[in-house]
Amino acid sequence: MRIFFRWIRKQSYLLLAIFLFGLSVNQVMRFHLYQHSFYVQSSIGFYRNIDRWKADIDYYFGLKEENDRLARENQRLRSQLNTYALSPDSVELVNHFDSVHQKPLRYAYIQAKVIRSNTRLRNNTLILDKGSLDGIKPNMGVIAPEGIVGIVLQTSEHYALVMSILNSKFELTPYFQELQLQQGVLAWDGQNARQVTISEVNKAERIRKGMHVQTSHYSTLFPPGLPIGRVSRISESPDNTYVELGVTLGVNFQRLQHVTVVQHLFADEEATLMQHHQELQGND
Amino acid sequence: MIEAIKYSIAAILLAFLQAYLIQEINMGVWHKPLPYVAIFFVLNVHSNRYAVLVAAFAFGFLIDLLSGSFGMHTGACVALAFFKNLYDRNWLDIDSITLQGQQHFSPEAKSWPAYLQYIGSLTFVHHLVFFSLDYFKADALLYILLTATISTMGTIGISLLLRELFSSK
Repeated sequence: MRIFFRWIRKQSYLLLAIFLFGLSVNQVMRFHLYQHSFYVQSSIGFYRNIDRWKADIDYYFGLKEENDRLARENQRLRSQLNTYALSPDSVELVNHFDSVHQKPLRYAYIQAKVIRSNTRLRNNTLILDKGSLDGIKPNMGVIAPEGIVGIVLQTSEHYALVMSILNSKFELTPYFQELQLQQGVLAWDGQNARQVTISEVNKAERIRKGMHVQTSHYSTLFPPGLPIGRVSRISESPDNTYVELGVTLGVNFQRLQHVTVVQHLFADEEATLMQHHQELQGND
Repeated sequence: MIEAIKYSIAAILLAFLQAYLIQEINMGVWHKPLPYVAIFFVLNVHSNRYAVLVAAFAFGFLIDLLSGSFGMHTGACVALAFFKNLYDRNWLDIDSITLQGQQHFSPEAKSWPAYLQYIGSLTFVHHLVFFSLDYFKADALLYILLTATISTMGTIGISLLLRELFSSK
């Protein structure tokens, strides 16, 4: 410490000159429009590059875990394929496997890498390394092998901003696989990055801990049947006809690296139909 | 103390001269002289270097305030003060100047070429920093060097003119 202070005393003139020059440059950046915009653009580019390098390093060190995750996903998809092969009714749900069933595609998928993610805020977001040039548009669903991740909010040419499921504005109708029930509102209470809550579920339903929670058929952003998590807590109160459920998420947002952006190919058609329906109701 | 007041008045006058007269005269794209740097050439070589650095900051800040070029003159003046100290300590024979009874470097202390080299290098450093902050672009390096060189020549010319006008002779 003494050496450090001695060094500071020795270099005080140089440090004072650097400090005063830094103040001047700061003034230039603040008060001149051109210099300010140059600085802002350079810093954004710089931070994005740092994010990309950091993501690459994280990706390299997480390869083993990533392999395990992909193996698990393969297993899940294989088992799903078996299920669909056995049940002809469910073919309609997965007509995005279309080379097999010769039907129009319903969903298209775009692979992307997470280059920035936060989980400690009230409204958490992610930044993906793909943007509008890759076909990503706002209001597309984002998923990972373990479950849903969020919804695309904004895109630039090379990046996309995603509202994660860990965001106070995110809401979804869940599907309880074991009960074949679509009910309640799934949202994040801001407490735990591994857990979301489901409210407005009727007490009469036989919800049990460990049940699988998935995306429902009501969602226009996500394909139905995608995993979300498992029921880990059931809170009942005697004066309420509803129960509140805690759901442990399948996705660990702190380790999330690869995601898939889901493009609903008939979204416009669906929206037009809904609009037409609303107009008809308005006329009545 | 009297010396400090004398320098302060001269600095304020030069700042006003720069902001309200020289800056307003269009002398071409490449030629933008900044003759206020002349005040640094007549600074006492024994002045406290920390005080000179802070005074240079304040002086540049005053010119920036008057001419609306926030930060540019300030940065250039700080760089000039720093470089002047470096030059005075390493390449200027301060003892010889003191023995001749002078307080700052002048042609009489050594020779005209040495004096021109001194004011030329100090002015060029100042102008280089000023135009770098003004253009603020790596691709404009050639323009910066050209403008700094041509403007340095103009500044030296005006500075020598001021020197002749205000010399005690």
